[in-house]
Amino acid sequence: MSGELSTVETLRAALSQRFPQARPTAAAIQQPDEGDSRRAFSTGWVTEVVADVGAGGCSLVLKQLASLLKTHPDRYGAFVDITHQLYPPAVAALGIPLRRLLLLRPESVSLALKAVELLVSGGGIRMIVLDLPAGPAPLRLSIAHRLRRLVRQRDVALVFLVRHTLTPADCRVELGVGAAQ
Amino acid sequence: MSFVCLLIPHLPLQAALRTHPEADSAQRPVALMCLQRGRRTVHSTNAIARRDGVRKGMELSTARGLCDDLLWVDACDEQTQHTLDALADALGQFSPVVSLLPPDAIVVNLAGIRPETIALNALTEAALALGIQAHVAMGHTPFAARALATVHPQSPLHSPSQEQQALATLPLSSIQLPPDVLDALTVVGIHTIDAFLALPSAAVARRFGAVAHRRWREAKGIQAVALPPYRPQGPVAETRTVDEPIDRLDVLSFHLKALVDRAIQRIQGRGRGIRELTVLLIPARNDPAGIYQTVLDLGRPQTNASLLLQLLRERLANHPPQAPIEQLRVTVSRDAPLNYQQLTLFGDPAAPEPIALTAVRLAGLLHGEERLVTTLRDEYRPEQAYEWIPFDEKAPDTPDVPLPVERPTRLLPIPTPLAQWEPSALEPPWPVTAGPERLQGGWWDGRPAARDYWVVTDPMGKRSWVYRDHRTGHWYLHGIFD
Repeated sequence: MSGELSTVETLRAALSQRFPQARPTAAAIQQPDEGDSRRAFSTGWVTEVVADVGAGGCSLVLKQLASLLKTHPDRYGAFVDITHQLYPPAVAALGIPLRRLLLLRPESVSLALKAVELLVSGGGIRMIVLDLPAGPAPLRLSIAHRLRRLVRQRDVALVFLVRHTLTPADCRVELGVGAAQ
Repeated sequence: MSFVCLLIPHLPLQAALRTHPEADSAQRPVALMCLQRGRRTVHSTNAIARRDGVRKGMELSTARGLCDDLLWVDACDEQTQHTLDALADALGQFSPVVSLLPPDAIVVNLAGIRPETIALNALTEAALALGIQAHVAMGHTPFAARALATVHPQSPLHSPSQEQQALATLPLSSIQLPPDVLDALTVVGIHTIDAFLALPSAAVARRFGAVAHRRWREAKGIQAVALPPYRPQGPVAETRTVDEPIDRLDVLSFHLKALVDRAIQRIQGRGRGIRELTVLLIPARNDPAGIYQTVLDLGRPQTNASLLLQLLRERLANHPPQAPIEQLRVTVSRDAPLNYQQLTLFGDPAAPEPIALTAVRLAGLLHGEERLVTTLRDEYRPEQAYEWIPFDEKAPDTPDVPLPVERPTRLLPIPTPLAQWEPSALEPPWPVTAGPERLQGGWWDGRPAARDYWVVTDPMGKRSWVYRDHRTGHWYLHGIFD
């Protein structure tokens, strides 16, 4: 329990440092049914980051990716960017070597999911981030289950960066933003 | 020292049939035609056409009169040479010294290789995999191997004395004498090599010419057969033409498999792997608009046919050809030495796929785009501060040097006008965290930008990157710190 608390505090501290104006909502990190918040962003796990645009979800995920690539200098990360908004100079500033980040910009959610499945089944990518815009319907359970099984088999970290809950994840991180007090 | 000779009977016909899979010579009469005085005449035929009465020199119309379902193909010297080269490429897997013995044979030098370790069946199958039926014979000299291959479909290595006996009884047609010399010798009752060798050397030279004399000396073992080593030239390419245009992906995959298998066999014989594979699918009537081309940039040399086919199938399934296909061409547009690695006893099924292959698959999925990796550019305009580069696993991991100022994680592809903001205002109405940062440039390429950027916090607490355009005075939202 103390480990979980320290993870939460670390996340809060990192976010408040980067976003001094924002404050976390009450449920900053929710522990789902079988999950363990300490395992968020770990390989073999599906993590869902639920955050509005501007709440710091993107930075949080990229920071995690940067630290993962730092500890595994021979591995790659992938960011599936449906909104076509991820800005590489900011990514580089967060410490991610751009040559080791596959940046995919599919035109549709279905194509993005195909790309994610391909990346996961390949197994050569350490962390895969799927940034979904607001709007898509929850993921079909069959797809979610298949992805979850593949993630465990291939030992990769799969992160859904979403605006609202879309998929049954192993771990869920919720971020909100509010006016400065 | 021992040699293996692979002789391709009816080479021009086989060369033509290799590219026409429907022309299965075991099922259908086939004739190879050549142009003589502007008319197509039969050059050679398969057994079925011969059975139906089609003969060499016959005109096409006559041959078709005899044989309703005759498939005829035009002879092509280039194709013939290509077939010989293809087999020579593949034989590189068996020995590093391979020599062409024109017009229709290849000799493999087995120096340093124990002859009993070479299975004739393996050589026959290597040729069959390329769509070539070859006679395979081993001998202690290239001459002996060539002569034995002319007569026997398969002839293993005999002892030297047995080999001499076997050669002695071979017909003269097995030693490549000019046709007029062969006729002259037959007229005087000389039918076998043994009888030919009984003639005095000076008489052979005087009466039958230099070529016959050279064959005599080679048969005697006085002169060696010249064996210039084969050097692969040009890229490996395999072509196939079908009678009925293909509009189904499974049929297309079937034909591609044959071509990819052949290309791999050849490239392996060269001791290399496929680095880049180009597939060209040409539609019926050669309509330029329907030509389909796809390039697999594999990142590392590959010789795994099933993997390449899987990649091709994925690409074809995602972006199918727009018209029925009549001709398929597979070219190894780039090759590289193979990276050999130690095999494990039980394999490693859990080993991740090489990242380069994943990149190829992704490129195929995302409309064939190779845009997967970015790099920073030394450029003031934010939207041009990075560029796409092709993925290269071997590229040095040079550190990206970002600007010392903070940039938003999300940059809107098209800045959103903030219409409600006062154009004449020089500062944004929301609380400012950083700014102004003046960015100007682009006058040199016709896309000038003159903007003052600010980091502001909106009433919801989100940080945004906004700018005021100097030329219009309008405000725009350009990025979000997420």
